[in-house]
Amino acid sequence: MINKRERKTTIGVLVDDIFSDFAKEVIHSTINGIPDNRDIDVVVFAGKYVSDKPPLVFDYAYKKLYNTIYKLAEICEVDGLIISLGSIDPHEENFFLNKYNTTFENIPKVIVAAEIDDYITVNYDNEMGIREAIDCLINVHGITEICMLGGRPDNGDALKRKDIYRRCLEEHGIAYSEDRFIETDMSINTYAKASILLDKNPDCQAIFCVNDAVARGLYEAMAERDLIPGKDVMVFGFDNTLMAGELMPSLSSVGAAGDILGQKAVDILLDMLDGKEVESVLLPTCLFGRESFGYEMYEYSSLEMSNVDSSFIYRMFDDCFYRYKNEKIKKKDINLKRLFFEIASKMLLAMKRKYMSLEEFNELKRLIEIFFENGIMEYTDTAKLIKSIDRLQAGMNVMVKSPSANVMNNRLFSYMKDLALRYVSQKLHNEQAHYNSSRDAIVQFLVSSIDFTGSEDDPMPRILQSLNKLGFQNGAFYMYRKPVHITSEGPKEEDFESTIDLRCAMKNGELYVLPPERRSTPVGEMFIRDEISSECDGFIVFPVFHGPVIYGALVCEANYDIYDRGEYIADQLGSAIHSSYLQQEINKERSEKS
Amino acid sequence: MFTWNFQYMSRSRLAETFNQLMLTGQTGSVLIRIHTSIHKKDDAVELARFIKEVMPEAKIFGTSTSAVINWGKLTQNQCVISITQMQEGRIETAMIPTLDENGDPIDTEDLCKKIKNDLIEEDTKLLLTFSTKKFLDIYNFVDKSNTYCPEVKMIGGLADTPEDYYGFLFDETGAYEDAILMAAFSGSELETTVSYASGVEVVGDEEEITDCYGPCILSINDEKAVKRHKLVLEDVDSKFKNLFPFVYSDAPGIPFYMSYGKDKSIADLFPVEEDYIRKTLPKKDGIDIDKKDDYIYANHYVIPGKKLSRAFIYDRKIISDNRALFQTVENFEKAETLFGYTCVVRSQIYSNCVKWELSAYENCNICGCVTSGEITNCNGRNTFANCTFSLAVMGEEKSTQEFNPYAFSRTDSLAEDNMDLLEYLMGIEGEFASFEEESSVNSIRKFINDCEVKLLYADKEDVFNEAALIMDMKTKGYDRICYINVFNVSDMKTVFSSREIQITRNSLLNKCINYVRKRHYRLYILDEWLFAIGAPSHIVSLNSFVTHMEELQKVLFETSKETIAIVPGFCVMDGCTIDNINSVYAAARIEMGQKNIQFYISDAENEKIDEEKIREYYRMVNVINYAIAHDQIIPYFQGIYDNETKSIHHYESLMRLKDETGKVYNPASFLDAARSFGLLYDNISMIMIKKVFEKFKNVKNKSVSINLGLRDIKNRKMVEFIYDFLRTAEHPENFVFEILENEDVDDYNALIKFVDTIHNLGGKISIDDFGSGYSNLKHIVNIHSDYLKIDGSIVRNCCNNKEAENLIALISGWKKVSSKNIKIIAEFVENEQIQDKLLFYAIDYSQGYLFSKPMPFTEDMIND
Repeated sequence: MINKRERKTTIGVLVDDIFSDFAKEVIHSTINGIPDNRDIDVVVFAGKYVSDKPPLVFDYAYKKLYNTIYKLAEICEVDGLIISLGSIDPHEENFFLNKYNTTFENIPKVIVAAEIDDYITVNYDNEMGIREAIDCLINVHGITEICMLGGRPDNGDALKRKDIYRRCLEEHGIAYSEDRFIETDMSINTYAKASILLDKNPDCQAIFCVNDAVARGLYEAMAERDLIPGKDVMVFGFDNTLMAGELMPSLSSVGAAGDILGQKAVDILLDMLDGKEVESVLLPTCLFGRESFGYEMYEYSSLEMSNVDSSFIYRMFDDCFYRYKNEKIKKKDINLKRLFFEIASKMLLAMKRKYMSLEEFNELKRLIEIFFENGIMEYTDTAKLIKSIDRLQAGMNVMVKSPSANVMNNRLFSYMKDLALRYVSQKLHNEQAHYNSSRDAIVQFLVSSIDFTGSEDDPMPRILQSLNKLGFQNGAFYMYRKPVHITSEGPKEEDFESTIDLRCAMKNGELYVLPPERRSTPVGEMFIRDEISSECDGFIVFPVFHGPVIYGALVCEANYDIYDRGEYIADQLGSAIHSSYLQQEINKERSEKS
Repeated sequence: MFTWNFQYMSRSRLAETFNQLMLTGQTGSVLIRIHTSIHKKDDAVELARFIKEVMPEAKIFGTSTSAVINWGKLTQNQCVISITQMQEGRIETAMIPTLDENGDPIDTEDLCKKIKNDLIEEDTKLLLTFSTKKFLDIYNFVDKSNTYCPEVKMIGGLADTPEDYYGFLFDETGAYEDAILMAAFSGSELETTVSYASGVEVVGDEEEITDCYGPCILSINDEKAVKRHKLVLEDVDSKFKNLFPFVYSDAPGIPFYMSYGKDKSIADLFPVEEDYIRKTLPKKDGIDIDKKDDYIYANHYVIPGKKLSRAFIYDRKIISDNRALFQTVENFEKAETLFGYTCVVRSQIYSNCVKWELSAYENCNICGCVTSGEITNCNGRNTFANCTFSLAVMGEEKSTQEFNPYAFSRTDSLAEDNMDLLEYLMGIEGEFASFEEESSVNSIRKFINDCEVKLLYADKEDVFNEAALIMDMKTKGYDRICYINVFNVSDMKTVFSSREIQITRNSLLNKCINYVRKRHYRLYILDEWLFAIGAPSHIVSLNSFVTHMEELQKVLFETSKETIAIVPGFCVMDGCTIDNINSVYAAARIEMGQKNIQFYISDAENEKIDEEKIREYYRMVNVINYAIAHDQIIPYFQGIYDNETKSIHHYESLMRLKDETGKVYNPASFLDAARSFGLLYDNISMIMIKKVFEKFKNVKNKSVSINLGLRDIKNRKMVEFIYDFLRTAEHPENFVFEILENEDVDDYNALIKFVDTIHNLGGKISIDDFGSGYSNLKHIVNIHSDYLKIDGSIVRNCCNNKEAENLIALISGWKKVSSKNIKIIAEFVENEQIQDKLLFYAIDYSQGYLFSKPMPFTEDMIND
C-alpha cells in the first residue's frame, strides 16, 4: 500500500514582547509541557504589543510591520494555538476576534493570562498568592503602609491585582488610598513612576509590584534613596520569573504553586486536539519568599531531619529548587530530585549514625558535583539556595550528635555553597563572553555579506553563505519569491503567497544552502521540512524585513539566547538583504551610465 | 562389604528380599539399619523383631526419622531398610541408656567409658551413633569420645520424627528415648572417612561464653547474653532464622542454633516433662529454673569458656562445601557404601538445598535419613552439629560409585532460593534502620550487611552477581542497565582451545572492570558470557551512559594476539525494573539477532505491552474455540467474474467464524491468534476444507478455490486429506488451491511437490496476493500455476496511482508473451472505474464487491 506521510502536529504560540521574562517563561513552559511521547512541534510567532495610542510614530510603524508575523501564522497550518497577548483584553476583544478568529476559527485555541468569554483560558489565580503576601505583611510584620506599583489600565490582570490589593487592605481595616497606588506600563522602565510613589509615601513599609519587571525600576529608585529592599521596605512582585531571583537583593514574588501557565495550556490544548471536553482553569499561586521580603514556606525541623524522612527530603528539594517541579524533566536526563534525595539522606543518616567514612564523604562529594554539573542551579536562585543550605546546616549543627560526622557534613555544605557561587560567577562570565562573541559574529556576518567588488549579479548566495555567522545552531531561513511590499494600509491577504522558498537551513551549526529546485515549500509545511532539525522541540519565527519590505522569515530553535537576540539577528539579516539589493541597483545604474 | 538399600513395603516382601539376598553363610556380620517415618514405636519394634526372626544373625539398628535418603533421593513417609553385609569385618551394636535406674543422667565420661569397653576394638573404624533430642548433653558426649576413642570416626545424629515429639531409637528389644544407639564397624580391611558440608561461614566477631547453665547461655563477654543477641534471634524468624547459626571457634565449619525465649522459666524452654529437666539439670547458685526471664539457649548443654561467633549459611559456601565433600568421597578408594545424614533444618533453609546436594549421589549406594542434629567428623575430631550434611563413605575393597559431578554445576535452584533470602535480608535491614541508638543494632546491621555482601558476588570472580543487580535495581534505583553479551560462544568452543577462550573472557572481563571503575558504574556477572553494567538515572543521563557504553564497546573491540576477536553485543535498557528487564532484554535480543545489531538502545517503558491487544488476542482464541466446539466455522463464497463470458466463473471460499452472539468474524481478526496456537489453525483450516469439499464435491461445472497457507502445505495430515479427496472426486478440476504465503518459504521443495501432486491429481493451483509481501516473481518461474491473483492493494489503487496501473500492465504484458497458460485474477474490484482499467489490460477475471460479495453458501451458486 502507498501511504502518505503522516503530518506532524504543530502547535502555534502567539506572544507579544518576547523580551519579557513572562513571555519567555510561557514559551519555555509550553515547549517543556509537550509530553515526551508525542511528536509535536511548537512554533512561536512573536509579535509586538501595540497599544491604541502609538507613543512614537516610527516605532508604531515598525511594530505594525513586525506583527505581519501573525499573518504567517494564519497561512501556515497549525493544529492548535496558544495565545498569550498582552493586548487581548476585554475592550480589545473585537480586535482579537476580527483579527484572529477568521482564519483560526476552527483551530482549537487556549488563551493564556487573559479572560475572554467563550474561550478556553488559563490564568493564574491572582488572589491566593497576593492575599498570602499581604496577610503575612500585616499579621506577621505588623506593616500597614503598603503601596502598589500597578499596571496599565487596559490590562485585565493588572486591574484584578489592584482590586485584590485594595480588598485585602480593606479587609484588614486599612483604608485604600490613591496616593499609595501608581500606574506603570508594566515594563522594566518604571524608575520614574517608582520615584513618584516613594516620594509621595516616605513612610512606606512595603510595596507590591504588579509584576516582577516593574520591581527593577523600583529597585533603582530605592537605591537612590538609600532604601534597601527587604530591610527598609518589603517588596514583592508577581509571576515569580527568573528575574526575581537575579535581582539584588532577590525579589519575593507570587508565582504558580503548582502547574504553570504554558504547561497547563499545552495540556488543555492537547486534550482539545484529542477531542476531550475541557474547561478554563485558574492555577493556584503562592508567595515565594526571598530577600526582599523574608518568608519561608517550610520550616526544617530538627525532628524531621533526625528521622531522615523521605517525604521531608523531597519537600526540602521542592523548596530549594522550586522551579524543578514545573519542568517536565526528560526521562533520559538525570533525575536530580532523586539525586538530591541520595545526597541529603546520606548526610542525614550519617548524623543519625554518628559516622561518615572518608569513602562516603568522597562519594557524596562526587554526587554533589554531578548534581551541580547537571544544571540544578537553573531551578533555583543562588540567594535562595544558599539560604536554604544555611538553614539545613544550622539544623544539623543544632542536633550535633557526632562531631566527626558533623565536620564532614559542614564541609559538604560549604562545597555546595561554593559550587552555587561558582555557578553564578561562571554564568556572568559566560554571558559577557557570549555577548562579545555574538557581537563579533554579527560584525563578521555583516562584513562577509557585503559585496566589496561590486560585480555580483545576485547578492543572495553570499548572504546565505554567511548565515552561519549569525550565531544560532538550528534553524532555517525562508524567503518570499518576491519581497512583499506593505503599503500604509497594512498587510493584505493577497500580499502573501502560499508558497515560500527555503533558502538555507542550519542543523547543529552546519549550514546547508538549498539548490533552486528544492526550495519551494507550501507555507503550511514550513515547519515540517526534513531540513529542519527534528531534535528541536520548538521554533521561533522572526520576520525578516527592512522598511516596508518583507523578505521572509527566520526560523530559529527556541532557546533563551534566541528570545533575547532573535529579533536583532532577523533585523540585521533584513538590513543586509536590503543594503545588498540597494548596492545591486546602484551597480546597475552605474553600469548603465558607463 | 555389601550394602543393599530398599524401601520397606510389607513383611512378606521383606522376607522375600532377605531370601533372595542369601545373606546366610557369609563370614562377616550383618547390620540392618531401619530408618522409618511411618512406624510408631510399637510397630517399629514389631518390625525389628520380625527382621530378627528372619535374620537372627543380623544386628538391628532402628531410628525414627522425618524423611529418608535412599539412592540420593530424599523422600517423606517412607521406611528405608539398609542391609550391610561385611566381608570380613564385624559390626557390634549397643543400646546404651543415658539415664540410670533412678532416672538420673549418667555422666558423659561414664558413657564414653562404657562404650569404649563394650564396643570399641582395636580395629574399630566407625561408630554409627544415634540419640534423641532428649539427650541434651550430646555435644559434650561426642566431644569427650574423642578422648576415649580418638581413632574412631563417628557419624549419626539425633533421631527426628515426622511429628512434633522426641524421636526414638529401636531394635528388637524395644523402643527408647533416653538412650544412645550405636553400631561399631570394625575390621582390618575396613576403611572409612566421615566428612560434611554445611555452607556456614563466620561473619560476626568472636565472643566468649562467660557464663551458662545447662543449655542456657547467661553471659557472653561478661555481658548479659540476652541483651546481646535478643535482637537478631527475636526478629530473624521463620524459614530464614536457620541461616544465621553460631559456630564454635574450634570447629568453624559446624553450625549451632540458639533460640530466644521470652519471659519463660528454664523449665519451660524444653517441651519435655518437667521432672526430666529438674533431674537432668545440675543445681547452680543463683539459678531458679522456675523463674521467668528472657533466655538465650542452645539445643545442647553449653560449655563455659567456649568461644563462638555468629555465622551465615549461604549459597556460594554451600556450593563450595559440597564440592569439597564430594571430592573427598570421590577420591576415596573403597567407596562401597555411603551413609548420609542431613539435618531437618537443612531442608527448610534453602528449600532446594538438600535435593541439590544429594543429586550428585543419585546413582550411589547411599542410604540415610533426616536427623535433627548430626554427628560428624571435622578436622579429625568428632563433633555434634546442626544443619549439616554428614557423609560417611566406607568399604573393605576397592570400589567406586557412579558419582555425578555435574550436579554441582547446576546451581539455578539455589540461586532462586537466594533471591528470597536477599529480599528478606533487605527487609531486616530496613527494620533495623528504624532502630535508634543501640550499639548492638549496629553490630547486627553490619552482620546483615556482611551476609548480603556474601550473596552478592559472582561464583568465581570478585564481581557482583545477578542478585546484586536486582538489589541495586530495587533499592538504589539502578534503572539504566546495559547488558553485554557474547553470542555464539559454542561456535568458538569448537575451534579454539579452552585456554584461549578463558584468556579472552578474562581480558573482556578485566576491560569491563577497569572501565566501570573509571566511570563509577557497577559491573555484574550474570552468566559466563553475559555481563551487565548498571547506573541509576539520578546519577547519569541516558546520553552519557550510552556514550560511555559505546566507548567501552570500542575498548572491547581492541584485540591482541592472545585473545580471540569477539564482538560483544551491547544492549542498553532505560527505565528498567526487575519486572520488565527480562522481557525487554529478550525482545531486544531477538531484534539484535535478526538485524545483526551490536549496539541496541531500548526504552523499557516504551516496550510496554499493548494490553488491549492481548485481551483481544485471548478473546479471539475463545471465539475460535467456541466456533470449533459449536460448528460455527462457516465458509463464505465470493464469485469470481469472467470478463469474457460476463458471468461468475468460480467461487473463492473464505473462512468466517461466528461467536455466541452471532457476530461474524473474518480472517483478519482471528488468523493471527489461530496461527500463534498452531493447533487451532490446523483445526479450523481442516474443518473449513472439509466443509468446502462437502459443498462442491458433486458439482459439475462450477469450481471453487480454497486458501492454503504454507503451514497447511507442511501439514501432512491435511495434505493427505486433500490428495485423498482429489483421488476420489468426480471433478478434481473444479478445485483450485490458492497458495498464500505469510512467511518466507523455508521449504520450497515441499511447496513444489504439493503443486505437482495437485496437478497430477487433476486439481488446480493459484498464486494468491501476487505483488505483495513474500509473494514473489520466483513463484511464477518455479510454480506451475493455473491462476495468478493480483494483490488487492494494487488493484484498488490502479486508478489513482500510475505505478499500480503499470504493474497491472506489466502482469498483463507478461501473460501475453508467456507460453504458460495462466489466467489472471484481479481482486478488490470495487467500482466500474477499476473494472474498465482491468478490461483495458485484458485481465481475465475480476473479483470484488462490484460483482459479488462474500456470502454463505446457497444452492444458487451451483445450480446454473
